[in-house]
Amino acid sequence: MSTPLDARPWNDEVVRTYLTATAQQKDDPQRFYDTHLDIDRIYAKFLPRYQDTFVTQEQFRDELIDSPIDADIRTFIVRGETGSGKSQLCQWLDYELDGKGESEGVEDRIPLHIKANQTNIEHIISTLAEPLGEDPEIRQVTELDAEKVAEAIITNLEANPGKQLAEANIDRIIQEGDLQSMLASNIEAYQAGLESGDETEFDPNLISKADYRDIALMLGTDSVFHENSEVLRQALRDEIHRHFSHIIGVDDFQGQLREYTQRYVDELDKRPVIICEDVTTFSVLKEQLLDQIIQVESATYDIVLGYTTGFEQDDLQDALGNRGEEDALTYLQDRSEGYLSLTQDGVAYFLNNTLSVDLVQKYMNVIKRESGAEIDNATEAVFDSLYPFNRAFIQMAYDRLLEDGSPRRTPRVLLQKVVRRVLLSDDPPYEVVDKNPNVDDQVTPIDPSSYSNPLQKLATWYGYRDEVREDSSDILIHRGVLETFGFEEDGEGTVSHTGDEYVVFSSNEAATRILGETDDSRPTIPPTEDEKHETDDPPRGRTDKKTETETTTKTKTKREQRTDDDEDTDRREDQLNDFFEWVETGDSYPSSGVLRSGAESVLDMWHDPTKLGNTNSSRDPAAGIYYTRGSEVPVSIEGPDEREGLSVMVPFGKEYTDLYLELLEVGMSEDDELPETATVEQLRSWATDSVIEFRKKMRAEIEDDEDGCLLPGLTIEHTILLGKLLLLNAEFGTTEFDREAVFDHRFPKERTYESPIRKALPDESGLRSTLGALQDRRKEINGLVDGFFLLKKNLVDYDRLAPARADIAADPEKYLGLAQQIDTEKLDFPSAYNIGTTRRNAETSVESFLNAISDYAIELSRLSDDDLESYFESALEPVQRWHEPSHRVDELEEMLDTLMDCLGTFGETKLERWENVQNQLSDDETSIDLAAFNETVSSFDELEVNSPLERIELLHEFQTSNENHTAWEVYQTFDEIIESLSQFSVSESGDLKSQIQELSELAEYESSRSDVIEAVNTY
Amino acid sequence: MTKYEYTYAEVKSDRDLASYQGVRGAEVKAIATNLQGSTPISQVHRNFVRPADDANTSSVDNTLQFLQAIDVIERPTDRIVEPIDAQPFAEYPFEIRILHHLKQQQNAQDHFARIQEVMVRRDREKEVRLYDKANLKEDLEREADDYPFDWTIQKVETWYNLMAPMGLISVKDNQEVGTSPSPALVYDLLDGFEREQESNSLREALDWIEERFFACYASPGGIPRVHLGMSDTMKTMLHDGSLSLMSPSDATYEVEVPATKSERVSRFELSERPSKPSYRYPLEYDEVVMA
Repeated sequence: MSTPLDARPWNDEVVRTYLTATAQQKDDPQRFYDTHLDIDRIYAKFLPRYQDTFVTQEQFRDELIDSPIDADIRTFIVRGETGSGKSQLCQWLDYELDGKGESEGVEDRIPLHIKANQTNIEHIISTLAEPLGEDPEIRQVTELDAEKVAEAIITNLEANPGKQLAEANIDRIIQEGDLQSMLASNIEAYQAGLESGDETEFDPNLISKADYRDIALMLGTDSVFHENSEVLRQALRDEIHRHFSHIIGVDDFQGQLREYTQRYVDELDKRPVIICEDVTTFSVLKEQLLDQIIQVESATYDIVLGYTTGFEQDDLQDALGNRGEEDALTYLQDRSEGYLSLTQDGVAYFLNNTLSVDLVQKYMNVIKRESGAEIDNATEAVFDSLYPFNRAFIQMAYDRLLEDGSPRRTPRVLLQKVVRRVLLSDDPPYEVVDKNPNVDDQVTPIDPSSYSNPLQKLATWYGYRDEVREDSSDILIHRGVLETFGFEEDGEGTVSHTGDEYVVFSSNEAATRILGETDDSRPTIPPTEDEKHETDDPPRGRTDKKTETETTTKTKTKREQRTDDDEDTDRREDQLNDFFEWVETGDSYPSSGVLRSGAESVLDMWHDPTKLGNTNSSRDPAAGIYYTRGSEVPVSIEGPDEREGLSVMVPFGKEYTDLYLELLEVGMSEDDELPETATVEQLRSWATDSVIEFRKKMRAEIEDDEDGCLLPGLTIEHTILLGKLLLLNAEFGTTEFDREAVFDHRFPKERTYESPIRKALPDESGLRSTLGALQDRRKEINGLVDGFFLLKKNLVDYDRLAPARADIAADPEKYLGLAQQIDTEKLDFPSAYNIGTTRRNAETSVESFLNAISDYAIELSRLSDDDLESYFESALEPVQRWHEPSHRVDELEEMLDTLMDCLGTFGETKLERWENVQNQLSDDETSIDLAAFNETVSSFDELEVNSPLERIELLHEFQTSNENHTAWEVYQTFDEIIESLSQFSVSESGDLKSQIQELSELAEYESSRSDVIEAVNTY
Repeated sequence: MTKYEYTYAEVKSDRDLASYQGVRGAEVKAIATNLQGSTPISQVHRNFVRPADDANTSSVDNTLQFLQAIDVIERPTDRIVEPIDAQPFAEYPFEIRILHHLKQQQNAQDHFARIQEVMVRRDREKEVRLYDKANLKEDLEREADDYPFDWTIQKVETWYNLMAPMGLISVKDNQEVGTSPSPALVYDLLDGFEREQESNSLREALDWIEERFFACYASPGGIPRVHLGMSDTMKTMLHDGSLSLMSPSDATYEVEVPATKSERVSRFELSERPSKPSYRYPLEYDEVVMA
């Protein structure tokens, strides 16, 4: 069999001839009848003998001719949307009344058919006069000089403006509004429009609403032309058109109409039936023509007035002008004998998805015949005699016809927008229709995870529902159709029906679930009663009639029943189509947000997806590290919707279809909840895998050996613990990092002595400023310690804590070294990592946390023995000078007493603090642990520290000792007293005892000397 | 068969298992797996109680008591605890052993296993994937009212806080119980059955799990129907390629697995265990690599 990819068997010219907007086959009765599908479902709001019911074309015809030849004028209105078959019906009436059809009793009628494309004044008058052999002289509008016509109209207007315009001062419009040039330009446009033959493209009014508005505005918003614009515009337009019709010589159209129609009755003994296909296409003078046609009294003709729905009330009103109390349409209706509709809501009444098959078949038969196409019978049989379509294709396409995005199931859209495009394309029909904007997208009926994309498309348009086997939801495609398009598919087996072999394909259950309905618009094998066609019979002719009941009983499919409220279903269908396309190809995905939203929700259901912490902790809230980039859980749809930075990747691939469809369902649900049918465990497993993979990436960003900001060997856990140790060390001098230390969350204010760092180092020192920054992170350090290492409030996660703590406790130097090399610039998006107990409150950046630890570690490592020594010096000097390990408390007391005595001897003032020290020494209650002091003082004397942490520890010990051991003050006091007495002493000895001895001897001497002096003075 | 007989702890509290409020799977596993031989309670405290001046040992003590109640540990003296060695399935993951211990509980203490049974044994139209905790409590009152205590939401919560970490179920928003066991658990059990019994009969395997660990069947009579939750796990495993189910035409001893297309399944086959996190037990989800 040939495939459509080979040379097309039909002739493109023939296709174009038959499938065009102005169907040329209408000019040839034979061609017309070959392609005419009986219009047997016309809604009659009223006809002389019918009311609120459907009538056939014949019934309408009978109503139309059921009047004496000389009866008064009768009007029949036929409304319908564009392409709904109005002109087809009019053409049929024309041929039938003209005796070209099979109608009887039409001999005394003469049809005068004003076609939709022949509605300018010349055409109309010619049409009315032609059967009389008349050729009325009408000046060709196109030959006139537009400038001169405009000038003439203006002259006439000035001379005879009519009452309303005269009162409103028409001169202002003419002069100030420059009406003449506007008219000239509009007449030119009108002429051009007539010549182009495309009359729908220009405004038939010589003064449009916009023109009038412009003019009125020029005259000022306070002018009467502005205030009373509606009435005056109509008046002005009517006057212009009246003068115009006079100039082109049709000012007595009504007279001509009456004359010609009367002559048919008188001379030919026939009653004229004027058939106006579409009054909305009447060009200039429409209002006058309409006005005159319907106003003619005591005239003898019938008139069928077709008008296109959408020829709104306003326009009709505008065209007909005011009719007293009534609006224009009511006026028209009240004076008509019949009022019929061909469509409702974009759907032609007479057509349905089964009749559409007949329609296409008629056209295909003619096209194939005229093209001389040879298509073998076997192929035609496989394609239901519709090759290259089949019954399913046409019905599916018909049900989904669109125009400008709205449903429009009319013959024109089906034939010209769908059938024609397929026939003129080199691509396979299922591809062409799939891309056709006039056919709504359709979700494939077969399981997208099992079958290829081309097969899915083929099945969409050529597949049938399986009604052969009971309870089957499978889709059947004729083996011959598959082979014709080059598919070698065995599907899930085969089914035979009336000698035809169908390949079975599993249905798209997910789509059914998501859309909430099975697609009952899809035709079945075997066909339903409605759909049955003797497809290999020749196309039915005019005699093949259906009764009215047959054409009206077909039940509407769910799709047909869809209303505007079901927009959701349409939207979901689009979203499903987008999804199926993407999951297979990874290409564009316009509605990827739905899948993403579903994925986000599912990730959130069992996990705190962006948190790095201890998932086994029951503490709520427990601090952790959050990835906070973006407002939601970061999810990337591979290909079209990928996020920067870290994200959970949703890769495309058919193998994921089942899973993603469930995500998609969540995304589509209003509350992002799991549908009852969801395979919860599948979603949970996916969420678990994704979240853990995401956390792994987070961890890698921070601690990866190659690219992480922490050096190998330093984990997040180590860093948190190290931060804790540094803080404790700085604030309490802790160096031993045991379990107690880990959870020691004391504040510095709980310390009993002053900050040694503050005492020892100047304000501007690096250590002090970085310590401040570290202390600013106290909340995060303690929070993360608890968050990572507690299972419950009072229960430690031993397995997680023990190894990291042991590492640091064993070699804090190593971790201090590693911490100095933390490089937060290695984080791709440093601001994305934040610490908190929820994603929302995670506001402290990991960057500042790590930098605080790292910066402090650097400053700490720079703290030297010299720094300590220079601080210890002032306190140590007196001790170094006077301290002997062998000193006893009583000795010190005795020495101080002696010194104080000496002060008295030399008349020196005793400072209060010296006396306090003396009192403390003599007070039995004050403990002066000289042994401990001796031990401490030696450690400050000769520094034997190995590490920065120990240096800090030493500072704390020094501070503690200094504040707690009275001995410091004792030696300080000695030093000060000796210094003050040194003016009396000369010795260089550093030995306290000998110094005091000397002083004492000196004091004795001095005392004796002063005794002598005093005695001499007294003497 | 496993080589050891089940041993009940000699002395244990008869406090209802579901009243150990606040005892959760995480600490049960952490403490139980940390005990190696006879251990002073002070040592357990040292390891697990958060150090503080007024350290609170009650969480640790409750957990020890629970472990004793389900025969994981003995307490030979007031100051010593020791694991009961040589229990059945000793070579299995901790989670599986705990499920076995709960299944072995006698008298009213069987209520832990019973909760899961009530959740799973349901008419076809009443099977659910997500079981609201309030509904579960209500159904327990209706179908398991033979206990000397009243069912409460707290008891249900205690149960799921212990069982979700074992992989038997999952919990969503602290409100709904996901009735599917984790793929890790199902994989290990099928694997264990295959090794021990040298059989690939799915029904024999599920019978074996039913008897020793937890309920799998929504309807155990006739050709048993696997519960939707378990069936979903199998479907997930099928999708992962870790499990295949077969229905040879001549099979006789079959089960119904709703998630599979074929109505009856008789044989299973395991492939290599996937390295995906979902094949780890929930308490092992965190990846902490110690340098």
